[in-house]
Amino acid sequence: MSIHEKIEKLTRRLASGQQYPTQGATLFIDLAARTVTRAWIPLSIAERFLGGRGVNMFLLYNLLDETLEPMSEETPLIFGSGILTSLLPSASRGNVTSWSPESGVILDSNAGDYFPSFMKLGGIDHIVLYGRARSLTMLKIERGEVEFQDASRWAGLDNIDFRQRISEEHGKEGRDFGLASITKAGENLVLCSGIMAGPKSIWARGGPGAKMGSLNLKAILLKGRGHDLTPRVPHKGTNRDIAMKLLGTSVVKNALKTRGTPFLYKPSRMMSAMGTKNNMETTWTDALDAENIDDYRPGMVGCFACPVNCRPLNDLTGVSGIKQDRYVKGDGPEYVTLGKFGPNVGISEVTDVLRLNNICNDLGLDTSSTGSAIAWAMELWEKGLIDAEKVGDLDLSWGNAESIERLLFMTAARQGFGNVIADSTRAVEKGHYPEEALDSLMAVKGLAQSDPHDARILKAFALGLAVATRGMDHLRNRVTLEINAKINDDAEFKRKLYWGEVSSEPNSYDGKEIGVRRCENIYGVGDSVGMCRFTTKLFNSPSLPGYEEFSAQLSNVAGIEKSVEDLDHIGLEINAVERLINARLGVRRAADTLPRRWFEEPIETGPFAGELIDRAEFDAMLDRYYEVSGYTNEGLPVPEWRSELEQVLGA
Amino acid sequence: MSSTAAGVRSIRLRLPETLAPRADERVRTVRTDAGTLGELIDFLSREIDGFDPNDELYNFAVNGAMILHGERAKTIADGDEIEMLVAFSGG
Repeated sequence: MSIHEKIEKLTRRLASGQQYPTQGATLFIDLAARTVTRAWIPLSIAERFLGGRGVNMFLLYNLLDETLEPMSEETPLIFGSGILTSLLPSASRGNVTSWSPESGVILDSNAGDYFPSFMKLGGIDHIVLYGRARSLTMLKIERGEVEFQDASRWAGLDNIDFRQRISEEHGKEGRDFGLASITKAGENLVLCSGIMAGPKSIWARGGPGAKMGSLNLKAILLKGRGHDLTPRVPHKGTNRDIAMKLLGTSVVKNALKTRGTPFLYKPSRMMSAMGTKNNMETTWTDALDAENIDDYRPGMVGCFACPVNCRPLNDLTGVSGIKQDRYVKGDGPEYVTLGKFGPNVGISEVTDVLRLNNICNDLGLDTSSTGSAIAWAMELWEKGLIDAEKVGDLDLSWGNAESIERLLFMTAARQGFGNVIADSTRAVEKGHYPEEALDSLMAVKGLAQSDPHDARILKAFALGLAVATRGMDHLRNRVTLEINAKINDDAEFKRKLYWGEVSSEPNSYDGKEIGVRRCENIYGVGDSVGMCRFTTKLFNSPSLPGYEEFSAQLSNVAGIEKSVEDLDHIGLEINAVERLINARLGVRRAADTLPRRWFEEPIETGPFAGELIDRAEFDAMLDRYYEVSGYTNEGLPVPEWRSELEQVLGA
Repeated sequence: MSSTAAGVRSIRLRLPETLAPRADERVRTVRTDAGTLGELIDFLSREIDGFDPNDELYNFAVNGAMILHGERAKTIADGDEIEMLVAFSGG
């Protein structure tokens, strides 16, 4: 069945008008034929999967043809704003979903800045894109009308220049328009490229930039805010309470609002859990601790209407010895970038990390995948598995920031050795590296590790990375509070937090499946509501907004009544749908694993020297995770549940 | 460093930037009769502006080893180097 037939079949099941207050339309846009079909997600589906990530998965489940390829024009690319995006404090987020050309499993990425909010404000909840445009195209969507514009004059432009050109024509981003766009890297189908949602915000993981580039789509420009967002009953009083709650938590007040996520570097470093030199080592310099970035941080910014403003800006203007060009200032870095372009590649100068961060933002590169691919190459270089014949005149010694900078531009252009980095975790498959290179690849399900924390110590972190549906990524289910001594030491509080027993010892395997399950559920709901992960309960604080607040506002805004337990079950089901999709892509239990290095090589230094992941203990923990999740031994919903779910999904 | 009287410990304390905005005020010597980290936390809650002893955001490291559980019972000795740090792991 072609995608046209699948869409026709699906739209017969969708509604022809708004189903609940504030709901936006779903647009099915054929970029080849230049047609637009409009429909509304039925209330029954919204009640089951909410919006954003949850409904994106419903759409993907119905439209995916796994006999094709990720970059086939009949494999859809789906944008989804959360059901409460722009309607809740800090709910400025939306998801991009597809079949990943980088990993080969589901592509599902989350970003903020302005685009998801402008979708909602413009009356659009989901955009389903398919068909390859005849030439490079930009979609302009204003007051519900879709215009297909020739984007060839912008071909090859990267983030800074493209956003500048659009601003010259359309006003100020975030006030007058929202923009989702790809860079030259996306146009060149670079597998570690993302879709930019702003100057720095990126849908990064899984190669969405390449996917969008494969459809010959440069950008989607959203203008106009005319959609009726009148809630069912007044909700702003509850929103004020939610804002007070999240702004009152210690992690927001003391850390996120002041310096942002660079704070995470120090605890990982002190535990000797800092992924260093492609995770061959686990400890690095204190020169990259957050306080050492203070001198270069002129302020903090945030996503659309978010009260937190967790993003540090950087400015190296006038700093001696630093090149004073367009990359002298920028937005970031987050902890991930600090780790991936710091210890992971052997860099110890803060100013080098800031510059590389700014370059990645302009080139539209996922710092997790790109940093990991470069670190992988550096290890292979050190071990002699690749040499000058492969890399040309690049020097891939650890810490060579100049080489790394050159390589970033080469990657975006797919030039020389950059063509290898551009193929990310697929470098062996594509014939760039020998088979034995896989021994040192730090990836699961074809996706390189998202963050720099070495998870051989905190077993809940390790389980999370192994089972996350999009690959080795901490944002799907990290039990972040495992690092907090006060929570670990309060057994009763911890039991109530996770709805079950989780060992107080972070390096124990006992009960960690309970923590991962609970986090996976609430983060899935958060993504479907549109809430930022940083302000969702269990991610860094037990006191942040969670199910109670989501429940209240789903009722107030949309008239959708869900208890705390209902929402937890929705989170479970969203993850289950993702597992069903992954199963169609060949994923089974064997893919819920970790890199060989973590099973076979113990941590060598620090207070947790000797820690590794014991295979037998890991397998037992995985069994318990499947059991608490209602999965079979292959990690899929048990037959009765699966059958009911597939009936609802309806493909 | 040595104690000045029986039961009094001299601790080299390092504070995070969230509690000591100026770099020159982050490292200090503290004299206390606290024998455990729990007792030290209680003592510091009286001494340091803005520090809530129940705030889960802050962990402690004793001589470079971050304490992830058993915090209050952890014994401390004269001359120990104790660091309070912002501990969050999601970002």
